[in-house]
Amino acid sequence: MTLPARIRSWLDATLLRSRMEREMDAELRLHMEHHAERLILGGVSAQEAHRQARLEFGGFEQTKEACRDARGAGLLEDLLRDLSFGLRMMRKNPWFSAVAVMTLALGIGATTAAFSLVNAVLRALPYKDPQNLVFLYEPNDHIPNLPARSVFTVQCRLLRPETTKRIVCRPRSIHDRRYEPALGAQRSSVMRMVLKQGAALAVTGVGIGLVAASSLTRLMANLLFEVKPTDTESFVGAAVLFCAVALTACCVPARRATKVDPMVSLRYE
Amino acid sequence: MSEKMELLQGTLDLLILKAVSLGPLHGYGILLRIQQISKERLQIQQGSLYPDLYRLGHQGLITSEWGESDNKRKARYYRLTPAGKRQLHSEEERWNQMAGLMADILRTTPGEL
Repeated sequence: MTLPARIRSWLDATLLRSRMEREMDAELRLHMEHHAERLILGGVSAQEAHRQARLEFGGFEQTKEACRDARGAGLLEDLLRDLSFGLRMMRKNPWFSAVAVMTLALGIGATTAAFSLVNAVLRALPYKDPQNLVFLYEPNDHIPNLPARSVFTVQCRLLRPETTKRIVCRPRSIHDRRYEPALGAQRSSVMRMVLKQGAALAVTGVGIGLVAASSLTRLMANLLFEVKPTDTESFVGAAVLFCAVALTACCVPARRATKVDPMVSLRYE
Repeated sequence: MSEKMELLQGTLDLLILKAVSLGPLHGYGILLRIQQISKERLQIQQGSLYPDLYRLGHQGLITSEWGESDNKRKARYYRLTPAGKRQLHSEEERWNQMAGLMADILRTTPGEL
């Protein structure tokens, strides 16, 4: 019962705004007239009665505003008013607005680009337990570019071909338990490999970002007080911060990569 | 106690519902009726009546239609809706319970504990 009534009331207040305003005005004025008439009946002069009626009623405009709020009429109206105010301010300072918009666009663009890149490179392959995928092959004289005969090679295909890292060991046979610690010893190198990839991403991102930022700040220096075209501290700070964040973010997949159990991987083949 | 009392916060809604439950009234009529029932002992800021009326209407507890006032002028008359009637009953009950509880607490003497 009350929810439809509320929605109808809100719609009325929004769509039939001018009618609501007219009616509200008439209603409040009538109240004051009624009160003034009563005072006149009580022996007060007409002029004094109207003055007193206005006084006792309280702020006329404030009451109207409170009535509008009570009906939820302000919601849409306030939003539109704020929007138009924002647009007016932007038109007043076109350069500042352009810089602000560009900063936002660039920031969002760069972040999105970095995230989509990271997502594409580090995303799991569409297989069950993708972290356990491996290439397994034995040396073959007929195929060039393979390691020498005596070396048993396990090429661990971590996530993507470009992340492939050869893990080399010399077991007597595939069942030799000793290749396990040998593989385990490569943990740090796997970690380093993933981190290096992240670092490459971060350095590229920081490089592009710094070039863009230096041209942006040069522009800002003309518009804003106390902004130097090349603020070494903030540039270095931003670069270091960005690299740190990127490398920290890489640690998670890197650690996961080191946790690959070679035995599980081999059994899968 | 002859001096006028200020309204407790949140009680104006209940007073309006009660006044309107006795018959359709326009805004000024509601004010007069509350004054009349309370024997002029309540201090009500006249303008503050209207935001409350609009809110109660927005909540579907009262409804309004335009009609003619005593001196042939168009006025908006408010009446209670069925939801408003239910609200009035539950609020009345709650108010009486609260008032009884407060009275009991304030009557307590050291010997009773």
